[in-house]
Amino acid sequence: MEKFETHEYDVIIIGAGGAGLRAAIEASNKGCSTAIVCKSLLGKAHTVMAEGGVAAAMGNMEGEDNWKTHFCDTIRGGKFMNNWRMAELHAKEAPDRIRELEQWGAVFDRTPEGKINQRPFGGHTHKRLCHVGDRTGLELIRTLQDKGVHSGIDVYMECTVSQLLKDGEKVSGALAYWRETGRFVVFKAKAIIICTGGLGRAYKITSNSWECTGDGIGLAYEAGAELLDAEFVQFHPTGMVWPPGVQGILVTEAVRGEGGILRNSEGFRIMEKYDPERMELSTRDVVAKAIYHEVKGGRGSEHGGMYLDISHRPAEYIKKKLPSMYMQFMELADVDITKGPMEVGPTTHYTMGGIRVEPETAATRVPGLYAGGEAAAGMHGANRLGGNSLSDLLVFGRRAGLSAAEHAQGLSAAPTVDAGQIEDAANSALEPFNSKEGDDPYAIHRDLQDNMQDYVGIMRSEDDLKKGIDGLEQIKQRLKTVRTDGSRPFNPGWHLALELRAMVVISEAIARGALQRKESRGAHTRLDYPETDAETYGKINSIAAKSGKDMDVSTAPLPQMPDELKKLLEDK
Amino acid sequence: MAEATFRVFRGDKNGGEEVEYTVPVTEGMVVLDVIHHIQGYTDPDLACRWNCKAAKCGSCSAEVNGKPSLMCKTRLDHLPLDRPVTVHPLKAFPVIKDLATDVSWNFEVNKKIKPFTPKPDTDWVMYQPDVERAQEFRKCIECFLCQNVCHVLREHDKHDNFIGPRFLVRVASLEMHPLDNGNRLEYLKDEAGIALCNITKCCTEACPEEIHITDNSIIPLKERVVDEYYDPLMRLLRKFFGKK
Amino acid sequence: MANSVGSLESKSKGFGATQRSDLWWLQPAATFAALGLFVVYATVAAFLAPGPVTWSPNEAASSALDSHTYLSPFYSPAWLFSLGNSIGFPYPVFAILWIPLGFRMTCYFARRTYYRGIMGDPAACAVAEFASRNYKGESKFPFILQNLHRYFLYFAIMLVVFHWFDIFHAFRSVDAAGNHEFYIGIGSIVLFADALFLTLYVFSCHSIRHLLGGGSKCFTCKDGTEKATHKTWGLVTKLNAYHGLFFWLSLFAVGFADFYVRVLVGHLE
Repeated sequence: MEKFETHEYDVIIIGAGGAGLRAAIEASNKGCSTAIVCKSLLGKAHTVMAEGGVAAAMGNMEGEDNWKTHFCDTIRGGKFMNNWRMAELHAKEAPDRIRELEQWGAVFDRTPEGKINQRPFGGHTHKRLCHVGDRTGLELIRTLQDKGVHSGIDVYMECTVSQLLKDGEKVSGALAYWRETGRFVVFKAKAIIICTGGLGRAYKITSNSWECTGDGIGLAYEAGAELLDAEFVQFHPTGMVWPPGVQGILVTEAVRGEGGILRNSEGFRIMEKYDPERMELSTRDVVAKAIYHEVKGGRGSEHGGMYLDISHRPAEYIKKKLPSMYMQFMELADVDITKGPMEVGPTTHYTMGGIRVEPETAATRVPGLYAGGEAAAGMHGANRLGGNSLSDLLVFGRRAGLSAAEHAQGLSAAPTVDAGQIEDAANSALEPFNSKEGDDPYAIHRDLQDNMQDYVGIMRSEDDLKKGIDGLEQIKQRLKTVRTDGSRPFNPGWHLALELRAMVVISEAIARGALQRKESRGAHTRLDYPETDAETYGKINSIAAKSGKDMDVSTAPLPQMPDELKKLLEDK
Repeated sequence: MAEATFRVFRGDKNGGEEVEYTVPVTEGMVVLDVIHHIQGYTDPDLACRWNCKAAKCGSCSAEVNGKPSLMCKTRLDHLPLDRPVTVHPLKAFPVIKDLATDVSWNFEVNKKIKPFTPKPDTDWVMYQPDVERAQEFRKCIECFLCQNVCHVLREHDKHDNFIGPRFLVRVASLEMHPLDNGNRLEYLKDEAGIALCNITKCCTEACPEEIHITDNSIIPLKERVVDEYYDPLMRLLRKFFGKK
Repeated sequence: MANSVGSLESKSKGFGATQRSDLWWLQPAATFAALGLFVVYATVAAFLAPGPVTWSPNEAASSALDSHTYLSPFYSPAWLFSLGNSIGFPYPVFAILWIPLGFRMTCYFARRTYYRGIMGDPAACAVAEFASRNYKGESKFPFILQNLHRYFLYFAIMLVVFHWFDIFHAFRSVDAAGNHEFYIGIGSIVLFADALFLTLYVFSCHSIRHLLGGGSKCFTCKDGTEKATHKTWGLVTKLNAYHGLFFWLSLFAVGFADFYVRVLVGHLE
């Protein structure tokens, strides 16, 4: 095993998005030697795409806002599927995490009194989203990045982890490869935190960047962790629909937060029909389904979406509050949003499901393995509220960093890495180069995306889901002989071949979880079971775990919240 | 279906060549779509960085027809398609493979910039006019197109003596942060090499975020350096009236 | 559809080498021509006349210095010219001209313009320069003197005041008896344009933007009330966006004003 470049750390974080950076800062502050391993350049993670803001009940705009209201909004938005303890911790800790960011140099928009400005957002009772125009994610990641580089964290950029290594039950490290050279590198670690984000690239129409292939979820699954509620995939109601090349790119919810109105081809304000109380500021699942129904009913826009109009606001205001939306439509679609409506439609955006973790410690059931951010599950239930993901990253990124550091410091001896395991992992990663007859990874990826889009999309039924699962079986078989041409240095075809492994795992968990959940709840909609079933499915989470070579899908009881929290929900 | 011809650089640090590809053109298509099409149907090992495809991450920087641009926002209908379009990697950085260049130098530079240093005992009250000035610089998506087009780096290879427009913008974001208390003027004059900039403004022209790099960050920083080092009158006044 | 079209190493790398296919050379060429024309004209003009070029509609006007109507802006303020004359400058006009010359030479916009258009450093973005030299930017003599821009600014502001004072002259005539009356001619408008554009050019300067507020770390006092410097900075910032335009307009205006007065006086006959 000496032939591999080897590094040793107390804590390794996989992924350099908001959660990964926040976890690394915390672990490093606790005195652990810490490294981030990420497959893009630092600062390019999908967090930069977060636009609207970060939710925290600071009460700067409306003094009556507090953690209790934020907690209730989160639980209601999540259709009571959330892990109550995570939702509680999140609501309580988010404001501190925002203040901390400001002390690290973040520059949020201000109120006239000089406090952090907050904007309204779907599903939030009060004005709650701290923001920087419509590029809040960039501000967050840049602040954490700059804090991180001065915290003594080592960053391994463009380095992809292909497998976790274990010492008995415990994690002991990871095998990764440099994208630049294709050479392997071994990381030995006492604790590993997975912050690899979501899996939108498994779908054809998605707001997610190329990185969002569910890598970390796949790694954790293979290492023995459980996946929770994978069927809850959020379809953001407003993605671009035209031109074809930009289909799926996000149109921030802040457009609706700032007063944008959704109309169908007849000029009717559609939310009057679907949620007359909250209108455009309804939750994402409701708005996405409303658009879906309108388009199905033949009242879609020119290119099969809805019209989202903000042009009644003054042009200067739009340019100031939504600058990147203005630029995005101007440059990519030739639409001036200060003058006319945008065309929007649902796009795969976020996975509420993911790695099952302990709410307080972010620990998986594998000793030494932790998860935070979008890769972890439980916080958002069946539907995530806008703005809750950035606060999730900060709150649970920090908690993951903290508990991983404690775990690492509590170990009497470093776990050992096994040379045989490393050898096997390396051979497995190189398999696509040995295949001569198999399919091209791009072709397999296209078929996977079509399969998920068509059969495991926004509206589901038993027939479709079964077709989808059959389709996945075929894709799994083809993946076994996937073929890579060329050599190991910077070879995107090879990278995709390896990423497909995780995408197929998570796709199967989504499809089979969706088949198991015979109800409609939040982001999961069954045409054959349109009602929400509080008695049966309202009390269970779905679980997917590796059993032998196959995936075992089962259920677990949903943790029940204590009475004082229940009372909060009843009071309002 | 309409088609267009592209000449894409294929090679590594030892050199390379232009390879010609013909791809179908659809409405609203951008250069990055072309690269994806080539990867998906012709050459799966064509190396190229990209992440968001929405001009928000700054990964897909390249030189299209000799112009440093983000491929995800360079539309084909804005290019002359009657002749081949060239796509090359950034020139100011060493090629890794094809369109991917080694930009790690930038991350090393960033580490040396004195981080945000808040005023002691601040109550964290800031007002919009101050915040807005700093926010312009914080729009930077680190695409490094400004670093690439800056002739101090591109033509004169002063990577050891000059931090480049991107990081002058970063210093500006700190120097103009209303609650920052750090002093980076000596750094700017010596290590950062701000005097090597001759304000020819290519960085501003290349910036996809439309940051006024020269007018709003570099020149104000140059003026601050003048305050400190080249203006005896100002120095005298400061002595008399105490430091601001 | 992939086929190789040859190695890149064969391509030339000398001055002007680029893959840009647009008309990138147009701007530097135009700059070179415009600046060159002005420099030639100004040099010839400055060496042409021994005394200030003035004109009055009344031929019998007194010969006193302040009885003229039009004064070529090259010679404004006239008293400085006289001062230069009295202390024996061979070409007393340079007692004045060093101010606009210094201000323009060190102007941030002009620097960009002549570094590109005259020195080709770089001629245009992403275009190769002359074979590698020991580039020092503005860190060494002589270009380190660019840092003196604000001192030239102080003098340029004085110049602005004198140019406006000349406008007062340009709208009145004086007869032999010394009586003043209102007068307006094309030259009055030409001189007015010169004063106006010079003012806009000087007050949109990057240095003044820094000195009038840009240099401060914070625009708001502790309680959020705006400091006066925020307003002045804001105003200069608006003008500054057009600094380049004002540079060219005022350059053209001052040249044309001088030319026009010389035509009236008959210098060019």
